[in-house]
Amino acid sequence: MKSISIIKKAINIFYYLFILTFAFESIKFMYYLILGNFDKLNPKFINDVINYTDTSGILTIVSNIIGLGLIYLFVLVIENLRLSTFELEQQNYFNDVVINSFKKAGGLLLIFAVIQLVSKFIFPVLLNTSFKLTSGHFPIFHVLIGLFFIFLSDVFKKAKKVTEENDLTI
Amino acid sequence: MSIVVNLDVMLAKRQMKSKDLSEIIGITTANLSILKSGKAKAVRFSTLEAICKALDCQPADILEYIED
Repeated sequence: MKSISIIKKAINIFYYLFILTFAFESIKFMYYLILGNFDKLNPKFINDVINYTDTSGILTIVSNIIGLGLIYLFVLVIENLRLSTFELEQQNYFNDVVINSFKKAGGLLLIFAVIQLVSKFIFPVLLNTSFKLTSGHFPIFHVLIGLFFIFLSDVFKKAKKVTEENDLTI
Repeated sequence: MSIVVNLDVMLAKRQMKSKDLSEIIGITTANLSILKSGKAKAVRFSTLEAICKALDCQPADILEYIED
């Protein structure tokens, strides 16, 4: 199937891009941390709720570590999807690697969504900045995709059982 | 498992080898071995029919229910 090859290539590109992003953000964080230039820091995924002109040093460090953690979680999600595409491309549809990869990717996406949601509520409170509840605070897309991957994992698990039974039908 | 496959007994009674039976009924020796060892999850009616025809027996001669 051609579509799985395209998905695999796209996931591979995303994977390396996110690894580079993670490496770049880590180096940037360490560099500005050493210089003590906190207002230049701008962590990904939660930067829209933080105004760094008002931040204290510890909050900046914590928010940046959470931001780096979120990027790393996303790398893990893509890594699991990458693993499953390798198997799917070789037409090994119903095996433990695919089932576990989908389950882990779904779970990690849910963890990502929860951390992002909590961070977006906590940081405005800690920083005493004006808090406006917007649709951007709710990572609905990540939650839905996460749940969908967990559901897909269950479907593949049942399909594996059916395939095994079919193979043992003489 | 409660269902026991007595294919070995029938093969011995008919003095037929597994390889010959597998050739007659058109399944691989590996699949016939799965059936004989009781690892099979299900048996198709077509396979059962072919076995009964080849061994000139009834399904009850091959399959037996034993309570656990």
